[in-house]
Parts: sequence; structure tokens; C-alpha cells
Amino acid sequence: MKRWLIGCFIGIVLLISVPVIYGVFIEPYQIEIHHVRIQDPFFEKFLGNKTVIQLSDLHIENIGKREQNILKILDDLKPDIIFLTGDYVKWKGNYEAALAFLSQLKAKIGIWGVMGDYDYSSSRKSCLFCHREGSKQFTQRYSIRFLRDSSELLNLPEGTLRIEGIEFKKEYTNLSYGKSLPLKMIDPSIILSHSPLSFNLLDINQNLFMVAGDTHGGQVPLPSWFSGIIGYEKNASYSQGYFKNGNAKMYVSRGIGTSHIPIRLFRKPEIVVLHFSAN
Amino acid sequence: MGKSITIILLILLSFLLNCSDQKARELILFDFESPSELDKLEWSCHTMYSLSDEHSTHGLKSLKLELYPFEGEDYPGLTPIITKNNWSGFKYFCFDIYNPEARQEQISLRIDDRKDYPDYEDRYNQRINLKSGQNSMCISLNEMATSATNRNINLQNIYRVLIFMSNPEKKVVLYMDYIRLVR
Repeated sequence: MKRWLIGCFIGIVLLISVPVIYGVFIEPYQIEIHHVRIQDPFFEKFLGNKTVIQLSDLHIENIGKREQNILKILDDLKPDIIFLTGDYVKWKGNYEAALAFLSQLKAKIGIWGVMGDYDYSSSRKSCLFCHREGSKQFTQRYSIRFLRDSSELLNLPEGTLRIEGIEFKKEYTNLSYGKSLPLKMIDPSIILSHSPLSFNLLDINQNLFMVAGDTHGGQVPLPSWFSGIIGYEKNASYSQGYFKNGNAKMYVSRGIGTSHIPIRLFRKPEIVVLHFSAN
Repeated sequence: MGKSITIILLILLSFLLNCSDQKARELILFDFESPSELDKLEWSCHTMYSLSDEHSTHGLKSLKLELYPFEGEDYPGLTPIITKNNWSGFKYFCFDIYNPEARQEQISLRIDDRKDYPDYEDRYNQRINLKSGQNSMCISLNEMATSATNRNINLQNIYRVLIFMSNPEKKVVLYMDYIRLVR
């Protein structure tokens, strides 16, 4: 009887500790290159022959092995375009490490990004993503274009593509469906948003493709109803993957880093490679 | 000898009472004396904040605001992070602003008593004209009401204070100091 009890106890400890050890020490470092195929003839015309990368939710503390690994992977992928969908730092964390990492990103055509809620956790330091310290002059550390409720036209040999960035704002969580954003969404556009909930605000009749993050895919598998109960509407509605509503499409990356609890279980960090095809 | 000691003690006591009375009469929310106070502001685009030795009305320094124009609709200004949410028991919200320009400038004051970003109609909004030079502003808290719903602001739940300019046409510099609540 006593042996049976000890056996049970060891079994339970193993049952809990093995996934925890795996989730804390192994999986967060197993970066996956996730090739996502998007069927869209319009975007294929512009981006079909290009390597388009999405990086999200890096939550960088320092430039360690994981970050070096990401840079090495990106070097091998030779991206034409990189889309960054926010949360580069830990909460009120080390901005310098994140900025140093971002300064090492390279893409042939360009890098565009939006900021996430964590990037504003120290609002004074958040200015450093765009500006030199104590100055209104733009930073020279990198050529990333941060879009804050703004857009840019990307002139390609195939034509002009609009890239829009939806700024993370606490106010937006109050917006009801259909209420317009400050941006005029001009068909067709690639939209960057940290929060996937911005997808609810898009006009589904327009040819829009949104990339978002923020959810981390839940970091561990959780049923959507549970995410809803604990107030994570974003995870309940758009935890990870591809979503389509009318002509509007979205890919939600589960990102790379972790927040709250440093664990990832069956939610490997991902570097997303977007492939646009006509059919 | 004993009489002198009593007199000295009485003077000391009245001095201490006076000090505590002074202290209780106002609560300084922001005095902009150290760089750490810059972390207590919501930094946003088109406004630069720095501490200045000029135009201070309390202590040694003031907050220099540089408000920049922008092509689109924009409201550069100051959003201090409010940690004292209960303003009940105070009569006035006061602050000092120095306008170095020769011309008059107009700023707006917005106060929210709800956390969830109320619309214009359901928050306190006040336009304030700043004359050239020093301006000492005091807003009566008891008369503070929302713009359209005409509801008295709930002084126990002050969540947000914004002092800003609406779409400045050119760069404007202002110096702020001594943001306080007065009994």
C-alpha cells in the first residue's frame, strides 16, 4: 500500500514536472519557421515572388541564444520584407536590448512595424523606437518604419501597395463593431496591428490582409471559452492562425517570446513566412 | 526662566501647527523637480518634455513642453499619470503655466472620472486662454461638470487629466509647474 502511494506520488510529480520543465526550458527556444500560404490573387501579384516575414511578440530581455538564433534564421531566409507586430520588450523591461536587436534586422525592400502594449509599458522609453533620446530627431539606429495610425505606399515594379499600421490604443478596446478607425482603409492594403481584435473593425468588403500578434497562441492550449471567462477576448476569438471574413483576411502569429509566465507548451515560437499565391 | 521656556515652546507649537496646516491645505500632484517625474507622464508623439530652470513657480524647476504641429488632427500636450484618484475634500485644481510668446495661446483641460475613455459629452472639458507670461489657473472642483450630460464630476474617481492644444499651427513652447489640489 505504502509503495503504491509512493508510486502514485512520483507519478503525479513527473506528470506535472515533465511538461513544466519542457515548457519552461525547452519549447520556448524551439523556434519554428512557419510557412503560411495565403490564397489571394491580388497580393500574389505584388508579393508572390517575395520572401515576406512576420515577427511578433519578441519580449526581449537581452540578446541571448534565442535572439541570436532568430537573427541567424532571418539571415538564411534573406527576407525581402519584414512585418513587425509589436511587443518587443518585457513589461517595463530592457528597451536597449530590444532596440539593439531591431537594429540588426535586414530586409531587401523594407521593414515596417507597429508597437504593442508592452512597448508602451514605459511610455517615456517607448519614444526611443522612433526617436533619439531627448530629441525629436528620428533614430538613425535602424530603418524600421513604425506606423502609428498611419500608412505608407510601397512602390514595387508590380505596382503600388499600401501598408497601414494600427496603433495600439487602450481607447480602441471600447470601439464597437463598425465604428471607424482614424485610418481610412483604402482598398487594397496590408495592415499591421498588434491586437487581432482590430480585425473586427475592418470593412469586410475590402481586400485587406492583416497581420497581428499579441495572443502568443495562449502559450499553452486553452479552450476558447476559458480564455473568454478569464477576460482574454483576443485569445477567445483569434488565438492563432489564419482568419477570413468576407474579403478581409488575417494571420495571427503566436509570436516568439512569453509574458506573465515564461512557459510555452505546444505553442512553439514562430517566425512566419507568408507565401501569397493566386490559387 | 520657566516662563521663557513656556513662551518658546508655545512659539514652536504654533509654528508646527502652522506648518501642518499649510501642508494639509494643498496636495502637490506634480512639481517637476527631478527627472523621475518625467516617467510619470504619458509620453506621446508631437510633444517633447524636459525639466527647465526657467519659469518655475514652486521649487527650482518647471516642465518645459514643446508642442509640435502635425498634418492631421492632433492634440499635443500633457497627460500626467494620476495616482491620487480621490479628489474629494479639495476645492480647487490648480496649476501654473508660463507662456513665453507675446501672443495669447489657448489650451484645453480635460478631466475623466471614468476609466473607460468617456466621449466628449460625458467628461469635463474646459478651454483656457493663456495670456503672455505667467498664468496661475485654479479650477473649482465643485463646479466641475461634464460637457453635455451636465453631470457633476465624481471627485472620488478621477482617472485622467489632459492639458493640451488642439492642432497647433506652429511649434508652441509652454512651461508648467506646481500642479496641485487646494482645500
